[in-house]
Amino acid sequence: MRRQAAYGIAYITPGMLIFLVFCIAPIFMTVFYSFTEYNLAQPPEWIALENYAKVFTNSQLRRALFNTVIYVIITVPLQTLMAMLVANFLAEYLNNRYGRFLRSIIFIPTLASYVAAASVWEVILASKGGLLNEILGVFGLGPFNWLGEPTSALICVSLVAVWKSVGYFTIIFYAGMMNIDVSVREAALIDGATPRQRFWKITVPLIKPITYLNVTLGIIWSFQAFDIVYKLTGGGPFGATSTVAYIIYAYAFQDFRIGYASAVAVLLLVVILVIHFIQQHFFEGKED
Amino acid sequence: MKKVLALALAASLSIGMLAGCGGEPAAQTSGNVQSSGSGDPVELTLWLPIYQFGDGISDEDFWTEKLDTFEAENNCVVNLEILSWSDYATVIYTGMLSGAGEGPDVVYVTETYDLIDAGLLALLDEYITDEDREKYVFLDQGAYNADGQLCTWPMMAGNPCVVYYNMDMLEAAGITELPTTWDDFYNVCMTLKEANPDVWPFIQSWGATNGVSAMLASFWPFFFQAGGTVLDEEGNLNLDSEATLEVLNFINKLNTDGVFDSSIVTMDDPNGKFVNGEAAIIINGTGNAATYTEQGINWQCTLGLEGPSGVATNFSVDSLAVASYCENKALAADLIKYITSAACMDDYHEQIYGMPSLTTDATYTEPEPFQSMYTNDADKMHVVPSFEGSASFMDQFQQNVQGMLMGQLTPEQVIEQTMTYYNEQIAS
Amino acid sequence: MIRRERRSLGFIVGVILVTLFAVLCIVPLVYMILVSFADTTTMYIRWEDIKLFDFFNYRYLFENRNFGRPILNSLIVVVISVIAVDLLSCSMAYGFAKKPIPGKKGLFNLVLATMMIPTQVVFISLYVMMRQWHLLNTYIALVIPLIGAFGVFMMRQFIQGVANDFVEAAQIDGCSEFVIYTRIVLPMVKPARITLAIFTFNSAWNALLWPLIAATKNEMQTLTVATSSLTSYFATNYGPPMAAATLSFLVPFILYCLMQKQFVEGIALGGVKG
Repeated sequence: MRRQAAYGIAYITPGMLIFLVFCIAPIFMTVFYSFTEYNLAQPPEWIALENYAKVFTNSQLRRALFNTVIYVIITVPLQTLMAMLVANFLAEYLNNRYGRFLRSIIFIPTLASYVAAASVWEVILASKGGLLNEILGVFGLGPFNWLGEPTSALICVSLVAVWKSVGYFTIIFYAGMMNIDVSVREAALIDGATPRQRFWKITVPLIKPITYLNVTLGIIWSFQAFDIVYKLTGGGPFGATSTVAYIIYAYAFQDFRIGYASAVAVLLLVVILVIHFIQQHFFEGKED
Repeated sequence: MKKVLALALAASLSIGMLAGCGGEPAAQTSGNVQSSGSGDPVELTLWLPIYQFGDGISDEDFWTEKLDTFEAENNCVVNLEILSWSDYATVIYTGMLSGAGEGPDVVYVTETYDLIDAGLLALLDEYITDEDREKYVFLDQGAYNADGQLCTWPMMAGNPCVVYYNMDMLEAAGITELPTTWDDFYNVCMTLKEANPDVWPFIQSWGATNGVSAMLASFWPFFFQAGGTVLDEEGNLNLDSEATLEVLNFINKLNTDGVFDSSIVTMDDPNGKFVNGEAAIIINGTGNAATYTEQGINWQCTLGLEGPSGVATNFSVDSLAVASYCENKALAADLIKYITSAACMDDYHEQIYGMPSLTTDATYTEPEPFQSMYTNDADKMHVVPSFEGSASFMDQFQQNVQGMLMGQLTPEQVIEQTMTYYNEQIAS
Repeated sequence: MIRRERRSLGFIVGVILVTLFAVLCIVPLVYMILVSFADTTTMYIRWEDIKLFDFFNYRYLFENRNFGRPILNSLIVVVISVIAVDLLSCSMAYGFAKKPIPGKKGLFNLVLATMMIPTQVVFISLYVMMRQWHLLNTYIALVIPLIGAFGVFMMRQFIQGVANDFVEAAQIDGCSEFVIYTRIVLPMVKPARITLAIFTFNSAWNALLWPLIAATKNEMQTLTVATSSLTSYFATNYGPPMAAATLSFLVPFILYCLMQKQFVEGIALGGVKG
């Protein structure tokens, strides 16, 4: 037994060391830096809570936090719901060759990087000559300046994110639905349940763990939205699409205010943890 | 679990010590320390940005050939790296922080405040001879530290922002005379708009990836025309001024009266619109003239409009600097002098990118009408100095101007909010 | 009964909607590929400008912008990270799943908890660390953040599913620990390892933030960063940036076409098991 334990320690030690050094230590270091002023050139200087005091009066950051929350509120429910409905239809009604073909098509945007996705959407959404405005022009609509108005810019950024990730969530839901025992469904059919009843009364409760996973992943990823903003809008116009992650990038790696950026990052961590605990509580409360 | 956490904490703190408190860039630990007496040639790393935007000889090929001469004369090896312009200032700052061996010994710099503030640039005074002072005409435009010592050596000085007019479009609108004052300019914009509602009479960008590049052509020319100065005599930021307000009021007026549309706040490229004949007037650096000619634009230009305080515009001075960790500073200074000498720059201006000559013995002249601008109107060109947190300040300023262009802020609020943000969040 | 439903109006509407949804998913990417063949300098892209199979935009990328280098960099990062993640995740997962390690639960939870941490929190200090250790602009720096808790978590789920009987039988037969791990356990979780490799591939190939900050030199740029920095030069010539985006999309896409089953099943398994 002791020998087995020794083997076990040998198996996990290299990995644990890497985790400690490159994953866990940086968390504590960032917390430490958040109490300092540090520009990489001079050693960090302890300034206690000064960064945090600044963080709470920073209008730019308030705006970014607001944008991030809106972004999460648009993307997470939309991608979860769309993925769920599409997966349900494919799994229950279109479980044939055509359905599988559609499923493999829907997954394709997931393969593209956010940079590629944002690059092409930039062309599609361009105010003059963009594909979308050209198409709408045929119907006598527009042209709209999608990325030039604060509200529509934030919505566009969110929708591009949904476009990019919905396929991923569809596949997870689809797999979960295919795992539901056929007999459960057949029993419901015999009882004369309508499609709507079957969806709400059987499918939704049975895939709850998967929904939990998808929502959790969705929230964590959305709170860190960076790539699309960086490429598509650069945070503008008028700060309408700047997100917390984007601000941290700008503070830390463009302005090199490591201490201040760390304070913002710690704030983001706290927000994510709080939301996670609320969400866990919410899901647990309803379980079983 | 507690033990684990304690362990993690201890481990991470000790790593934090190692990584965070190491202090200044490892200057003395370079692996390739050379003794000049030995046969091994000394190595210098040189970083320059890309300037060849056309089809001619590449920057790499050009400099490799030129540097051969220098290397042979000084028994040294120059490792050349040509950088792209994206995030240029950031790349330089991080590169220099890495110190000897990884960072450059001689480097082309654009924003200098942070570099000087962090003590990353070597002082150049001791390497300047009286002869150099005679010969290199732009030395006064280099960046100096707080004690008045020279830290950067101008290499590319010029590219003033001038006003380009698409003459075909102006003629089509019946405009025969180029505007001089702000009011003339406004009227011309209105006439153009009426004559052809499908094009932009005048195009600017307030949606660039960073405030520095947005303000270059969209703000500073007007600012100097309004008589503004960036820093006051004590070196404090002086943008909370009447001049700033006048510029914003003017831009606001152009915007409310429909000269711009909402694409002015997106990342759309204004230069492309002028090149494609979709905009009639643009303010841009003189370096763009060749492209306009190439693309068949029938253009004319003037140095700048006549604002409340007369004709003026801004130009840029980018320089070479020696890193403070460089081990052969004298040689590095020689390299800078060689690069900026007529032997290199005459060909460089011909083959790569035109700019006013740096030395009295140079033969290159800028194409007209620009050469006469440098000879006659040099006093009307101003440099925007780099100041503490200038990049962040300009980002914030750009963002608030976007707010103004969208009708959410007044010009006064733009200034007030930018200054508040700057004083509370950026300035130390 | 299901057959009766198939003829209903609702079913037809559903098929149309889902088909439309799938079309929406790929139209932008088809458009991206089309524009990558466009010879245009204006923001209006006309159909006659698109010259399919004339690769001038791609030639431009390789001849004038040295795109070979970022592609090579991305490939190197992908290969190293796939191997590193596989090695570390499997061995850690095996230890956590099958070995009696003191404090195992706590350690595993510690690893797991890192999944909740926003990458920005880690990246700031990781950057400081890498800089201090002179690891910026190295492949090591680019690979390190790709090693995450997810692989350990996923592989543990699967290795737990390997029946202890196999392992015990092998022990009785006198197989060494190393042989048991490499010859019995690893082959049994091969599908999961392939899944993990695909995940790692995708995140390594598409990563933007970390390569953007950790590779400051041109010669170390990955394809994503090179693609991203390209657009700023060509605001109205959409050809080259679209060609770069197409290149970056093509590699995972080809892999997907070849290994569609593993992709889809892998994500499904990861999701359902999790």
